[in-house]
Amino acid sequence: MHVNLILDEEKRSSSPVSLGLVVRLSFITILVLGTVWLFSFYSAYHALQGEVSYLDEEWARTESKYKTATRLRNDLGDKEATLGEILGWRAARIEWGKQLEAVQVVVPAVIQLSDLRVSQSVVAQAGGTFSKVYELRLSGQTPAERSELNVVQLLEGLKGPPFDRVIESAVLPTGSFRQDPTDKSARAFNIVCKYFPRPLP
Amino acid sequence: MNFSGEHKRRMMLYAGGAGVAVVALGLLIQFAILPVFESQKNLTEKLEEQRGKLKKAKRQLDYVPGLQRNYDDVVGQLVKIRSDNILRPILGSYLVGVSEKVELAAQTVGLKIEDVREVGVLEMPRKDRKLPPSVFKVFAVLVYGQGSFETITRFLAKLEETHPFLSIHDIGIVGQLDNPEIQRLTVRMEFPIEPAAETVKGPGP
Repeated sequence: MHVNLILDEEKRSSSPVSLGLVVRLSFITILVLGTVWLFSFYSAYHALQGEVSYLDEEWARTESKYKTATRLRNDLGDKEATLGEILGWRAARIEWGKQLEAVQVVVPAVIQLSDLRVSQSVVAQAGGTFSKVYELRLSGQTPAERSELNVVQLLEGLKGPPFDRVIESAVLPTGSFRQDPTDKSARAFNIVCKYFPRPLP
Repeated sequence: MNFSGEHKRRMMLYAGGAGVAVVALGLLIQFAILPVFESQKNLTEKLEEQRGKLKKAKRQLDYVPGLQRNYDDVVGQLVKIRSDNILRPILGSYLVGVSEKVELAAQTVGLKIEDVREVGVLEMPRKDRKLPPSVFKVFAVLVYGQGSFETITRFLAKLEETHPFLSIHDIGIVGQLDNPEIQRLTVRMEFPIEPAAETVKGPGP
């Protein structure tokens, strides 16, 4: 004989963990985790606010010194540019007094210079910058005897020290070595020296 | 599974509660959590920005003693150049001062000066045409004189020694047939000036 001691609607799960318990436990866990997260988030947020506020104060203390330092740097840049301009101007020139003294030394005693001209021009260089270029033109006479050697000696002198640091080329233009029209026993010549370009400021 | 009416009612209650919880959570996220996250993001960005600014500022401040030394050095050099080497007008005239300098150098070496003529005030040439004009300009003169070649070279050397910023632009030294010992000299010289720094003083009260 089979007897039902409980009705069907009175049947319950035999498991000790009920659905209600799972739901309650989940709710409590979420609540606890949420509270912990909220607390830690708030702490971090508060610390962040504190740090931002500290850095704001630090910046307020530093800003005026920083602005002064920036102004100093900009002023220094301007002053250096001005100094560069005037020093560049000096560097672009040639000390012609010393240069002509050196020319005097290399001119052989048998050569009489009749004309010396220095001219300066500003020319464009590769890269679009401009430089000063000097040109020295010498004209003179020398006795016909050994005239060729004398002129070559002068030319070589202008190619050697101390001119080799400043003179780019020294040439006797074609046809410039000729008989002196005023003295048949002498030869006349022209020498053209082109100086290295000197950068402008 | 056969659920009773009570069980069904409870399940519906849970489902309703869950629905309300989801909606409440959504509202919480939308109106409380997201704005706080946004605020935190903004604060973090601001913090990084402030840190960057402060780092840059402190690095800059570390250089200040060196910058100050450089500044003093550069200003010292400029003051010296301006006081010793930049031509100043005398009662509005540059030519008077230049003539004095030229005559003095010529007398020292024994060169005869015939004339000192003003060419004018010119812009200082620059390496790049796109650069703004220099604060310095040049005052150009033509000097005419005569003397031996040696005297002329000593005259130019003397002028350049006493005025290291003087630039000689062109030179012409021409011998004379009737007097080969004496050459005629024409030289164009350029002296740096700084018109912007010159203070014009009017007559006193």
